[in-house]
Amino acid sequence: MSPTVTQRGGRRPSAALGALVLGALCVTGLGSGADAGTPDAAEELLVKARKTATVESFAGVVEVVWLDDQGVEHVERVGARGADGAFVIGIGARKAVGDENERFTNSGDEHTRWKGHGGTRAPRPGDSWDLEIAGRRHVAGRSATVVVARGDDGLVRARFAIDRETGQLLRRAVLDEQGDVVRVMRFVSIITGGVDAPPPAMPGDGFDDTPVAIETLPSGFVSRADAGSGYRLLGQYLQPDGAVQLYYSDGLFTASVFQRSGRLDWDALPPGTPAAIDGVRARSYSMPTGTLVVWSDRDVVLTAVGDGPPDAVIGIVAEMSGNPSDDQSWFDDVTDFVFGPFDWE
Amino acid sequence: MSGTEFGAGEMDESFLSAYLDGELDAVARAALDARLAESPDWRAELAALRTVRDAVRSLPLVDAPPGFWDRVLAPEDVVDLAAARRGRVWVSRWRALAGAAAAAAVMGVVFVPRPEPVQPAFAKITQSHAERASLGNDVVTNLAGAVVPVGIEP
Repeated sequence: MSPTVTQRGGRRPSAALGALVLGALCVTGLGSGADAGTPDAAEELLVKARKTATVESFAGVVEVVWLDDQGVEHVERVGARGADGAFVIGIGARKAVGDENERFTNSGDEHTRWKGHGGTRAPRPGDSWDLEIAGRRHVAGRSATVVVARGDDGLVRARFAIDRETGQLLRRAVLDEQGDVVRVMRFVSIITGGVDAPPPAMPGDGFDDTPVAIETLPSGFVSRADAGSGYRLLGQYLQPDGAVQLYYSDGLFTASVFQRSGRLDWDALPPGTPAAIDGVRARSYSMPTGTLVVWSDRDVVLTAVGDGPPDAVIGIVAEMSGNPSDDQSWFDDVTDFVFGPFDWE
Repeated sequence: MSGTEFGAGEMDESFLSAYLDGELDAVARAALDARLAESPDWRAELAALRTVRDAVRSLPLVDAPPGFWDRVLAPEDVVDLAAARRGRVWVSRWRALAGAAAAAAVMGVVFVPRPEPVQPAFAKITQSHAERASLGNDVVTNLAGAVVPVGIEP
């Protein structure tokens, strides 16, 4: 038995749905070409949007909206701009800067840095999701094409709004298995092209520690080529602090599983949401970047974080903890318990 | 030991010894069973304690030297206090040896280095994931959440 919300397994036949959508688009004039409403067209928009922000110049304000573990909505705004292939998001002590192959992020007390990744190429978005163009909307005053991603059960699990002129991703919303929005990133204002902003500079010396790609994990750590449903391992990394990071993607969303030797001190963790995943004690947190789950296995502390629907991250935890989510009632119980407060539209 | 002495969140690991020795009442035992079911750490602790107990129980029984009890218990004989003392010393030495063995068994388990406590650094973890995810993906939607304050760092 497989979980209800992490339906994956390759591109599914959706000719009938595609034909219906195509017909609807032709009638309403949403498509700009003969195949504008097909899954392939939707996928092409998403693939192009992956790179646009590091190619086009832009400046704007991004709103981050998420629900915390008590179901309280949080809204934060950050500035973002890019030019000449470089970008900066945030300001002052809280910012991320980068270019095509390098990243540096400082969230106040912590900084992290990446140089390239040496990993495997990400799958295409349509490998695991049914994609369709679902219309147009205005985001930050710009006309955008809306792409929705559905699971095998037909439920929409993500909505993307892509700028029709530049192809830049303007809005991303992630929905849970009840169809409720749990997390949104959106531009609330943006100007594109001809932005008069110097390329943000990467920090200099003193911030050189970067994760290193590794082929073999240190003793005691575990890896899975596939995790959850549809997530594929794209890279294994050794962090400067000795932790191991496994990086996964299903083509649309991403997740990482961090492992570190030691004993998890449960009492020192923030409250979060307690959970039991097939007999494995865990604690879950709803973060601006996604869902984070902590648990331990013998003498290893594991932390999974992913930007997909919360139940998808739980599915990864179940698989990584050696308990594949093959129990329908268990899975429903856990996801209902952990994410029940997300009754939010 | 009464289950009314503690709540589910107030048990400490001393209850594991009582649990192994069958000294807990039904309520306390049920509470501890529940804790064991949800906690790999508690199960590991219980296994360690059981190993210690078994090691102590496996130590050999100590017999007095031949003729010792005959000499001590024979009423018609004058008790050779010096010999009796030697016997007591012999027994005491055995007891000391047994105690030392038990202590060694206990120390062998107790002093095996336990893993260091670890607290996941949420900020670093979410940042590092967001950075990796942004390589080859949209940078804005992947990184904007990593630079906003969250306020739940351990």
